[in-house]
Amino acid sequence: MKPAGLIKEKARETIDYKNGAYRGLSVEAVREIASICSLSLKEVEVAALEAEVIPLRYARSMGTVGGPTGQLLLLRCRVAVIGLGGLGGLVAELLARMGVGTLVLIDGDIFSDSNLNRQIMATEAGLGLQKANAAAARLSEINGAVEQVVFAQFATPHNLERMLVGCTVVIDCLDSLSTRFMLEDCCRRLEIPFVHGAIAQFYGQVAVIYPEDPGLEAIYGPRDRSREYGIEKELGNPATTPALVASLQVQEALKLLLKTGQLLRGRLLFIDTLQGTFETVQLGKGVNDHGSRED
Amino acid sequence: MITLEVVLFATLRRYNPYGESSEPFSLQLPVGSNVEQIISELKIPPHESKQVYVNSVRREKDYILQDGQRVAVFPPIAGG
Repeated sequence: MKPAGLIKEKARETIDYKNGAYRGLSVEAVREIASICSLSLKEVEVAALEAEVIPLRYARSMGTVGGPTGQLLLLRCRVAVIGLGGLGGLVAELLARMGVGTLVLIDGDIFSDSNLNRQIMATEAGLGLQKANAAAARLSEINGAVEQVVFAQFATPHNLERMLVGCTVVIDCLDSLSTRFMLEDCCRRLEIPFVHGAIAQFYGQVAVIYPEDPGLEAIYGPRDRSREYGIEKELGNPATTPALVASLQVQEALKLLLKTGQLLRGRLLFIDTLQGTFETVQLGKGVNDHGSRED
Repeated sequence: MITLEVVLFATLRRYNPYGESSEPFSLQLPVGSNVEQIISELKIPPHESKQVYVNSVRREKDYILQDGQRVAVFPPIAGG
C-alpha cells in the first residue's frame, strides 16, 4: 500500500520554516503508516519529506539542514563511526538525532568501569557488553528510522574496506595512531573523506581529510611504529572534552553532507580549554572547501 | 639575529623558558635558523614536537625562519 494518502491524512501540526508553513508528521503517525503499508520507518519519513511533509522529530533541525530537501539528503546518507568510546558514542548519537539514514557502527571493545566517566553509551548495567551492540540499542530508542549496520569487531586491514564501502563519510573516533593511519589508507582507497577527531585531557583537535589531502602525516608527522599514542596516555580524558570534539566532528560531517559552510579541510582546529583558546592552523596547500585542491 | 614570537600549546607549555605558560613569548635566534634549532633551543624532546606551525602553516624541521614570524608548537593528541 502506498503511504501518500495516509501521510496526507495524518499530517496535522504546522511547522513554520522560512516563509512557508509545512505540515508535520508525529513519530506515532510514522509508526502507524509504516505498519499499515509494510514499510520501514525511514521509508515513511522519506515519502513524507518528498511530499514536503516534515516528520516532527526533525522540526527544529529545518533551519540547520536547509529544510525538507536537506533532511531527505541526510536520510539517504550512509555514515560510518569507527571507535565507539568517548568520541564515537556521542558522534553516533548526534548523527542519529539529526536523522542520518544509515549508520555503520564499528568497535570490537566491551564496556569497562573506566569508560563510565565519559562514554555516553556506557552504563553500570552495560558493563561487559559490546560497545557496538550497546550503541545500537540506544540509537534504536532514540531514532528508529535510522538503519544500523553493526560490526562488533576491531578494524583490521582485512575487514575495514568491507565495512566502509558505500559510506559518504567516515568519522574517525579511534584511539590509536596505527589504527587511524589504517583508516586513512582505507578511506583513500575507497575515495571517502573522513572527519578526524582526537582528545587528551583539556585538549582536542578536529580536521576534515579528503583522499587527495596531505592527511594524518601532516598532523602527526611521518608514521612511526614506536609511537602509538599521544599525550592522552599521560593525562587521561574527562567527560567534557569528548563531548566538545564529538560535536565539532558531527558539525563538520553535516556541513560536508549538506555542502554548506567552510569545512575544516586542509586545516587543523586545536582546542585548548585550559587556556580557553581555539587555534586553527594550515596543514598543507590551500584547498577549496568542497572542491579540489589548489596548487 | 631574528626575533620570533613563540607559543607552546597544551603540555608543551612546560618548556616555556619564562615559566609554565601558553602566553606567547619572544625568542631571538641567529639569522638562518631553522625549525629544528628552535625546538632544540627550547629543549623540547623531538617526539613531543612533530607539529610546528609558522604563521599558522605547518613547516618541517629544515624550514628557515624569518624575522617576526609566529611559531606555534603542539603536542600529539590521539585519544578517542
